[in-house]
Amino acid sequence: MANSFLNLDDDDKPETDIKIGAGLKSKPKASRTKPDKDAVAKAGEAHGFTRSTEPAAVSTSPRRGRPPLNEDMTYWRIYLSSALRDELNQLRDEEGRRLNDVIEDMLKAYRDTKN
Amino acid sequence: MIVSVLSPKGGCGKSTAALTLATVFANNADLSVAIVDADPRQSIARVWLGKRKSEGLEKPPFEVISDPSDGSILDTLEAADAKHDLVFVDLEGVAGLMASYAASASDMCIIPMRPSALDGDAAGAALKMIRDAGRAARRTVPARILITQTDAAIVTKSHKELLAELDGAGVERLQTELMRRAPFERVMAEGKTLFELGHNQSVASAISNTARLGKELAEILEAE
Repeated sequence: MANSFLNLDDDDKPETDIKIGAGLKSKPKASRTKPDKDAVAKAGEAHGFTRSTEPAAVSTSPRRGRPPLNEDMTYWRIYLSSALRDELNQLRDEEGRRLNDVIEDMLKAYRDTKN
Repeated sequence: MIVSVLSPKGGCGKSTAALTLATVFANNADLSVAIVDADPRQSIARVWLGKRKSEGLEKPPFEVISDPSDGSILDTLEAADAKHDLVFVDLEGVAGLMASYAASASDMCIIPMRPSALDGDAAGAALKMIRDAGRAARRTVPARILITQTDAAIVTKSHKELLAELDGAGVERLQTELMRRAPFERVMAEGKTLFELGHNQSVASAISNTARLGKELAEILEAE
């Protein structure tokens, strides 16, 4: 059990001397064909890995439901107070004005004040 | 070789693991190392590199490649693999197509998880996805759980239970855990690598922790 708790070795290398992965340099790279994207996507989707970074296809069909069902939209996180979220949800339910509509209105109003 | 760091759960330490592992491997000047930042939030390519620029720090010892797009990630990984010895891929903490694409092109997937039930659930989904994405690509993609943000002094009950469950189920995990240490947070906050942080015992412990993890990973990659 000697030296289990006290490190009495005096040959410790300084931390900056860390050199790992030397064997990876000489390891030949595996040649492989590019994966079939559709098959891989399907395999992931089976486990709930469905979110895409690509914008939804633009559609001319009438707006339906909440975004992004058939509109060119991208995912964006936003933090709101719960009171403001409730108010925006109410606006959406009663008047069909969604958060992105409200933001568009705000941007337009802001630009109008600059002109 | 491509090593993807992924989990559909946010906050489990993906970016920290990718960044610190790339740092310790890049400390070996013989190795060419890169990070592909595939997270739309661009924690490394935008936030970390931006911090470096604003602080006037020189280029990091590894290349940072930005590609947060499903459409081009496979091409980006292929090009990065051709150019570098070792490529780490940092993915967003969501259940996205990007994770499946990256897993299918990887030589190894690391799934960071904290000792919590929610992280465990997410890690289980990731393991199944990696297995099937590999099958779809007609290959076996090895995966290892990486336990993160553990306490250096105390092993909690849920931590012990998690290890028992993983080992009991035969889930392969990295034996080295990435502990909760202040320097891992400072790396992100200051835009520095571990080696660029001021020297103190805490930084030395963080470097030692990451180096042990790197050595274990290197041994697995060399044996694969």
